Amino acid sequence: MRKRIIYILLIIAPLLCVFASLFIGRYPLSLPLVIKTLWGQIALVNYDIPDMYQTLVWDIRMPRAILGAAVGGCLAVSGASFQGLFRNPLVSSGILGVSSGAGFGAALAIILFHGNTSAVYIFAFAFAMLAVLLSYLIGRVYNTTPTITLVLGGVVVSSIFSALISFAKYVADPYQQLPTIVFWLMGSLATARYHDILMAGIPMGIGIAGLIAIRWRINVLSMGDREAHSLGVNLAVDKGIVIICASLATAGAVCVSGIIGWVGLVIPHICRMIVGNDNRVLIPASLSLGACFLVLVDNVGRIITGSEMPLGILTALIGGPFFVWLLKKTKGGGW
Amino acid sequence: MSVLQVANASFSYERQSEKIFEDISFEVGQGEIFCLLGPNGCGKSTLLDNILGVNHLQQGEIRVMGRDTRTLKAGQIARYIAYVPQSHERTFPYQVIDIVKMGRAAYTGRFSSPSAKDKEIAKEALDLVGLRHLRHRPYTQLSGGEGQLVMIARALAQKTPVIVMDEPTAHLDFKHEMVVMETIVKLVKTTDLTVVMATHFPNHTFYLENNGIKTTVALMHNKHFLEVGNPTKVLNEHNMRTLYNVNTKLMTCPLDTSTVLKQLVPVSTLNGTKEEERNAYVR
Amino acid sequence: MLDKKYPRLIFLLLIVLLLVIGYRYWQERNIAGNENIPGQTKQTITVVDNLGRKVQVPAHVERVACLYAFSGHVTAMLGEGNKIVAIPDGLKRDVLLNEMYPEIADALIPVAAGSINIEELLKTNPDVAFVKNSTALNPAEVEKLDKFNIPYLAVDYNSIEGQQHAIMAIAQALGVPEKGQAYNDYYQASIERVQKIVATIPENERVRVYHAVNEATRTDTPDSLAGDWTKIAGAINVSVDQPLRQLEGKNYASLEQILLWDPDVILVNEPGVVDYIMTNSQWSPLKAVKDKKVYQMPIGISRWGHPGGLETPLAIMWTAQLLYPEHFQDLDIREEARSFYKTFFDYQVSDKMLTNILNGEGMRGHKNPRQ
Repeated sequence: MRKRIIYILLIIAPLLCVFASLFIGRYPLSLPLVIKTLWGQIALVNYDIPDMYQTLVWDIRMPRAILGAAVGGCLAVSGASFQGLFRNPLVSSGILGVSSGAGFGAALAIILFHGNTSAVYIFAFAFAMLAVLLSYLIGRVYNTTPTITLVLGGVVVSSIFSALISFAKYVADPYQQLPTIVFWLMGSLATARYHDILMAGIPMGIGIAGLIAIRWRINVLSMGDREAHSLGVNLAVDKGIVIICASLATAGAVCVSGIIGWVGLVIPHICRMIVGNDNRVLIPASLSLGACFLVLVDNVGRIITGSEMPLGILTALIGGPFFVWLLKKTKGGGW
Repeated sequence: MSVLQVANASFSYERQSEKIFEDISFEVGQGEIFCLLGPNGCGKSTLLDNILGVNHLQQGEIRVMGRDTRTLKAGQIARYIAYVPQSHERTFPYQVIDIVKMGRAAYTGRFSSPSAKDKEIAKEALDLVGLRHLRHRPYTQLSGGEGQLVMIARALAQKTPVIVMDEPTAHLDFKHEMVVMETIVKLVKTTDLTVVMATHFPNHTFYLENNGIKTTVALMHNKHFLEVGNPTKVLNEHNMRTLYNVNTKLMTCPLDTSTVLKQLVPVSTLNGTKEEERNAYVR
Repeated sequence: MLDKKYPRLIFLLLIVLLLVIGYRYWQERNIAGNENIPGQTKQTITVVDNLGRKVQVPAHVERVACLYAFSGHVTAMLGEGNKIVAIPDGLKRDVLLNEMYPEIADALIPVAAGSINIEELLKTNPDVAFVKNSTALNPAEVEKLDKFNIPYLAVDYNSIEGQQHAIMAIAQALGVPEKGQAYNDYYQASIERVQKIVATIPENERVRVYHAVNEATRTDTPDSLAGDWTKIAGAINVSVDQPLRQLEGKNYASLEQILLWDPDVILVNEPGVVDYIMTNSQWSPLKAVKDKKVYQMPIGISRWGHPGGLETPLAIMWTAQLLYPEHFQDLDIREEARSFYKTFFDYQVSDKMLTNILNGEGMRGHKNPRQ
């Protein structure tokens, strides 16, 4: 019974968060007005709503909330999966260089194509996946890929791409390209469009679906290579699936939202405290909580000041104290 | 028929480098325990790795129930051979029952989770090691001995004819060492398991023999087996000197009318017999 | 078991979500295609901005979003300061501007770090927005403005010519081109007045100047407004044509470079920096420091000579007189400034305030004054 309630909550909570954020924003729209705007579009009723309100609710707030949920969910799920795979609770979704790879790809596209949005997505995504591939190749020894060398590969690739980002910033046009690069790197959902959600939705969807499907195997993989092998796991295939899916999800998220820290590290831990460490529950819970968290934080960012607060600052500022509170309340929750 | 056959096995990590072991052959039958003895670094664990299919032999072959392990995939080997590690690094606080359920991985599809039937099997395995009452506890909170029993339960849930154990009593306290040994004896007697075990304690093999289990001891020395046979025959003062460079005394004492308790007691090391060194140690 | 249903449910939800998103995307495209059809009943005029874009602006602009500080100063100069509804944070700190137009205190701040909060901007319901070039070149930012059909002009520059063009573009958009023209005429006249005299000064008598922008080591490049006006004022700007370190769009010299250049005069536009340079032992070997020729530039509506400053003509005259006093004996910069603010801002500057302006004191409030 308790399990059933948790599952229902996990599904409903993000939907509620997305719905709630349609009513929140700096532009004062009354509650009935938003509902009318929504219903008018769904049921094709003409309530004579000004175009501006239509655009505000349907084209500004809605895509932003959906994208926020998708990005938050992706980062948290891939963070949880990587933590299990690498048997290390300090690992986050960016461990294999996905974030810095995406950052460099985006910077490169901004310089080469003057910030053409599609080019930025494609480059960010391609370089994110390239970074993972490089980490994997570096970590490969004796035809196998031990966890520790994979992590080392990730660290090396991350720092190389970080250096390349700095270099890109150095050569970028300081008046036109540099501000765009800096803003992209800070991470934001402010520019969300349905177009973005569709484009990034494909890798994000594949990644999340794959991780949800293979989630119990992550339990087994977290026993370590030798034990997982003797339990009957084909290490190369299963590890490969987890790495590819988690990277697809992260890269899809990062390429539309920029680099948003903290979610991929701490949301899985918050979920561990609430639902335990079994990845069968942990992975769906991370998806749900990650989605809720980022939507809520973005809402705070949208309304706290007139000029938007960058997301990265808020995720840490809001998530940090919450994490500490939970840690005290659950007395470590089995850690 | 023997359950596990190893024939002319040789292995080295890279083609050119020195062999870890060479031309090793042995057989283990059903309900028997095969104990590997030898100093640290003699290649016991590497041999076990080859049996588990983690590494592959350079020459020779390993057959389990008549099938060459080289032709088997990890998922297939796991239905024949289970593994109890020497020390298990506990990273995430899974529940005990979840750990044991992992023993069902070889029978569960890549994209599915264990079924209700698997859960029952896991519970039965916990019954066998007497830990059913702890099944909802985080296994990180268990003692070392209980943790090792959970690893054994996991191996049992794999429902394999063979279990490979790598020093199952390492790092355990006095009592839990005994608990684990008793559990192993009980399992072999009740389920006719075959156990291949690496150990550092020669006396364990006497214990197994005294409990009526057919026990074979292999002494691993200089890439080969020095001697293979039953404990009483193989574990003598001469072999201990060759194998470990340790002077020992074999003590016997009647336990009851039918059994005689045997113990190899170390007296001194062979190279370090200088008076002052020993005095320093004694003092 | 629920275990099995759960993934299926998620899958179903995802498909529904995808359909909704797909439908909205299809609409998004249709709207984008039909953008120009809805009846443009309002009368518009065409203005060419600093990126060469031809922009349709309402003929009668009532509400102006100045998302680049400079455009706020220009709007005030053109006498339209009461139409300002949105500004960047910094404008609230300009003392003189706030005294002229107290309503600036009520303007919203919908922009930070080059990103626009579109909902906040919509609250101000602007007829036109003035933005930085980098905003206008960022497709993501532009899309936000386009969604709500807010016309925007890029009014950023890095030369005197560009600055004059920007002033003219803003004046046209606000329907007061004659005022913009009058300002640029004065601007041009000031340049010619100084240039004529400077031309008579032989090259070997020219003064070598280092210009510190906000921070002690931040300085000018050849393609910058300050690079232009220091040249006109007859200074040999030591940092121009030298390799500088770029950091986030600003240019920095190293202390060793400055010691090597050893300028005759140091000009500083931020209060406090003169003290810093004069008391810092690392700067003490410099000739300008030994001769006590480190000067604070005046601050009025904006910082004179700043890359985003409006009082460039005054900065040129002030600097020329500072460097070559004997050649500019008949220039009374105090009176020049007084009449400047009277003519272009219709504001009578008091004697005390004029002194403050010329000393560069007290004309910039502290951050977040909350007045």
